[in-house]
Amino acid sequence: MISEKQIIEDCLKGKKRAFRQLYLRYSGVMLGVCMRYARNTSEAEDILQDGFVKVFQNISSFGFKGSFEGWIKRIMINTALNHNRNNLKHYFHSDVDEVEEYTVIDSDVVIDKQEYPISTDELMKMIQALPPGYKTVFNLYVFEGYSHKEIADMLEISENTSKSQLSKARKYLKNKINKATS
Amino acid sequence: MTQEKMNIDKLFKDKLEGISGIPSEKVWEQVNTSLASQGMYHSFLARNKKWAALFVLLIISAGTLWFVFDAPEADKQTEISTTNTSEINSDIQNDDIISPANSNVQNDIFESEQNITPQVQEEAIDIFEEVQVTEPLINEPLANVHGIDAEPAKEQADMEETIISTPAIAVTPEMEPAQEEIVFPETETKPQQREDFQAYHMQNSVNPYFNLAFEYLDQQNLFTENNVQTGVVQISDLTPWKKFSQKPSYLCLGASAGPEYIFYGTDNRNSGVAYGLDLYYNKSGLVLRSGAQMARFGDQGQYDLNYQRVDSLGYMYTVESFTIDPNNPDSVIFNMKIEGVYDSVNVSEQRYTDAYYTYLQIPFMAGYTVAAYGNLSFDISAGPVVNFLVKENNPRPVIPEGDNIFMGEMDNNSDPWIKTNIQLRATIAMHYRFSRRMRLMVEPVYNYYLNPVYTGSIEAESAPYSLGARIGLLYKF
Repeated sequence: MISEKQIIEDCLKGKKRAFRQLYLRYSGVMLGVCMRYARNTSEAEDILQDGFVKVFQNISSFGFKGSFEGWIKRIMINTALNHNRNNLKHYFHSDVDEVEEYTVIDSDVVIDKQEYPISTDELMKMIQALPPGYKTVFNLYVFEGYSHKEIADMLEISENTSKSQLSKARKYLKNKINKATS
Repeated sequence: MTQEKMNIDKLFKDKLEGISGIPSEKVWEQVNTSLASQGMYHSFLARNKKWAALFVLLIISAGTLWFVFDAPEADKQTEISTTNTSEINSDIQNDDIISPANSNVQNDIFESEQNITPQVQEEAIDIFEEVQVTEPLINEPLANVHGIDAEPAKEQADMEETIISTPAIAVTPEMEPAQEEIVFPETETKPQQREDFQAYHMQNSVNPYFNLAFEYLDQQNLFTENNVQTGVVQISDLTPWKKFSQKPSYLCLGASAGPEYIFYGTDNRNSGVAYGLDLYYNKSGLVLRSGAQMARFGDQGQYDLNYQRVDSLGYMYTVESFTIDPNNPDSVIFNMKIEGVYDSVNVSEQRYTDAYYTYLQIPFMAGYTVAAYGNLSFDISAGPVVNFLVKENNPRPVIPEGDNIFMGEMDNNSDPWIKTNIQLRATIAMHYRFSRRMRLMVEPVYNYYLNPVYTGSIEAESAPYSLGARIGLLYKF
């Protein structure tokens, strides 16, 4: 099996076969990432496509520092954020006045463990059905591990807005889970 | 029942983190199309362009040396000896094979020989080259035909004595290929004797190499009407190289010009014109080309202008002085002046200009004449062309003028063109010879550049190519 480093070096040389190999190696996992930021599979594939073009365009800047998969994932996330940027602005702006209300909400929403015999597909659909603002903050906070300050800087919103979006997302998801299991 | 509580964040993270899917094939197709259009893929030639250029240069250099300097075999001179015809006429006339009774047969054979095509002759050379490495195959049939006790190890002097009466291939005892030779004896000087001579060999040897040797001597005008000579032909003289080196060559100098379109980047193209001197050398269909040409390409220069423009907003009255109205002490008379009111606006704008870049091109091409019909011939040539940027004409844009304009900075943001480049050129040239010395040349030209047009920009990632056409006149020296 050709090493990841070798494939990247071949990509840098412009070998078409290497581009294809790299795509095959990471497209599946990256589609899973894109699915969380998209509304449906079709939109996720659009993000995946744009993301991979950016990956190949900028592969010379990777420099073999750190995880290549992590590097690709960051590009995919940034592509997804750009993809939804217009919608995000709208949703975030509408929440500015409600900040105070949500800063006091407990973030540790819990559910009964036995109440969620829910499939992965159903959970994915729940996330995809979230409003863009909720979805973005929830993904960045829960899956990518960013802090509210980092999210605020990344999305050019306030920390409080980030917190309120996360709180709303949790409540939204809990309601969905309860409805699915009832 | 355990009422174990679970954080909703953990639930989603555990279930969805790391999941994967299978994207539809159209995703890759679109990625592939996008990458291809951006020139991300590099062909084998583009990836190894330096080696390819070096390889082409080596081939051209080797070909040039091959042309200019003779091969070692060329030093071997054809041995021609003249003998007294009267001494051998009797031998030939007494020979049963060439007796008048067989003259009709001989003529038939000769006529059939005249129909031998060049291709057959080439095959004959191949056959002979195979034959000459095995001594028995050469000598035995000849010995049988001529009734000679074949002893290949005889001394050269004995050999020559034998072959005066009977033509044969004389092979030196050492059997070194370079010393192999064909000896033709002298014959009568009758008008028909030349043909008889050839027919004699045709009949007495199945080896077609005799015909080539005969033709070789004939080309050197050895079979004259009054002085038929014997000839000793070195086999090496009949090799393709030797035959080639004896064929005529000519040199042409000319001028040509024509349009050229260069394609580069994702969707860029620029037109240009190329003109210059052509040096053309042709030897038996093999072509060497060089010269000095100028190629001028147009491009769009880009300048960023920053200036301050002062615009009038209206006017205002300013009081210069005032006095008390002498007729009405309660009122004041103001002496006022109207002044314009202006506001300054900082303007940043891009201006585009017509820029031109001129390259000196030195081609090193080799090719071959693939077809010739009367005065018309067609050459295919290819090789590297070295480019040097000799002139860059990127004029500054027209700066806005006026009392209300205060010029700030002007930055030239035009993409810089590369200073030196190498392109691989391929052409198909049509030559029409309309006089003894002059010929018209028309050729489409394809150039593949090993380096991009620009330096230091996105477009630098893709290798350009150009298509053009040239028309010119060549003078044959």
